[in-house]
Amino acid sequence: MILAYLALSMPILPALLSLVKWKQLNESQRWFCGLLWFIIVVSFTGRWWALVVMKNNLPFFYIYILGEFLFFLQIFRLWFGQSIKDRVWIRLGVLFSIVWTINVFTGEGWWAFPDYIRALESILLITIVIIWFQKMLREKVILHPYKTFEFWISAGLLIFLSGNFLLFVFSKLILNAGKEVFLAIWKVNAILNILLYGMYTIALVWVKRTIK
Amino acid sequence: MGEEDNQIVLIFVVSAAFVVLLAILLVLFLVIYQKRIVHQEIQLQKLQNERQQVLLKATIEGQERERERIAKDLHDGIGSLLSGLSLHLKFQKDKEANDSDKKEFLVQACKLVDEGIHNVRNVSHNLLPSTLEKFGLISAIKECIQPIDKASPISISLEVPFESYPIPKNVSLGLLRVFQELIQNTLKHSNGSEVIITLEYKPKIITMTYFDNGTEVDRSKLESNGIGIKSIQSRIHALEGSFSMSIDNGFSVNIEVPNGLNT
Repeated sequence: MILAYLALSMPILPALLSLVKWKQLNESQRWFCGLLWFIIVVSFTGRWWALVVMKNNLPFFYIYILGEFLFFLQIFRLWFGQSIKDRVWIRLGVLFSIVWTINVFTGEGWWAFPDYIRALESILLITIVIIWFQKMLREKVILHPYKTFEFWISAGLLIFLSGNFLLFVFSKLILNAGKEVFLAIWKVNAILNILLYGMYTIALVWVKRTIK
Repeated sequence: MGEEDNQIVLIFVVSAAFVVLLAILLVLFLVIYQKRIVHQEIQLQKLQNERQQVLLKATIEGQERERERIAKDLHDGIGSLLSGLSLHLKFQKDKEANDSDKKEFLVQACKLVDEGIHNVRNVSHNLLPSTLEKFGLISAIKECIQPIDKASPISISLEVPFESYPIPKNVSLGLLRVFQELIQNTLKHSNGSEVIITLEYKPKIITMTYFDNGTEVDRSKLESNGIGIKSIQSRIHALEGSFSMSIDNGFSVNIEVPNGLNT
């Protein structure tokens, strides 16, 4: 339980730090700050919904997935700059939104666990992160990548999404195995969540004032 | 949880841990690899810079040697020839009667030859400033200033330290050439009335500041680094010094060059 609450409240740390450092943030970092606050609002509203209104708060998870993906597309669009054309990002965003809409309004809809859509989001984001790392290697500019904001966000995403990938792909199997099994495995997600937001916090620590 | 459930949890946790470990290893590999290739890139850049520096030094040294050769050729060849011619003409002139046309012609010829000798000496002197070798940088700059101060309306002042020390020839020659380039720039492009040159001999570096109060300096020429400015930059770069300029309320240049003695 403690682990779950810790994972839930973990985004507050980087979100507050991003507000403290707001003046030093560049455009992509401000979008990232927006993403953090979006996550906080959705997560806490979802938690409140689960406690007060009804137990199934999965629609919030769906909103979270779409919002997170679109925010990250915008952040990566700014990072890649001219090397990837804007229309690629727009197409990716539109296509994902269409798949998301189909997933939400067909079958069990958004009351069912978002296994495929989360897996798809993970695959797309992991691919973008790998392309980003490739770009970093190709450019041969940054001597200490671990001292950059971009590195920690990308590394965090890569570790979190790849670690969670099995959980989302095999979520139906895990859910069928019983609630106890699901909760035990869900702890892995909580640990990865703490790790992810810890890395987001480190990323924001490395934010330096931009000289214009 | 039953035995089977435990096994499912274990398999899942181990698999997830394995994937996370792989991701961490990938990130670590990226960091190490990136550091290595960027380090190599920096080393390569450093080597290229050093090679350029050597080439630049060699080019400037070659230029100076060529100037020296031309100066000597002028002085010993054409200079001597003109001096001989002047002597002959003067001798011939003295032999002629005072009011003859031939005498008048020879007087004019002597004047022209003397002017030629004077010009050859000046060119030769500019190419090979012997004062620099004999008396040092300060005297050489003073010598350059004198004729300009007399011939142009610009007032030139040189501020020098009380204590100076001998500096290597390449440094003093470099600074003198830079000064000559700057003063030429002022004479050609500036509407200023005053030029101040300051020399400072610090323990490890020599600083030269040049200020010209002209306000109509062509900014675009300076920003695009004209040939004169490029030549100054190359010389300073060859001396491993630094160069900065500004065009606020006049044109000022600040040069710092290691003295090459204590470093």
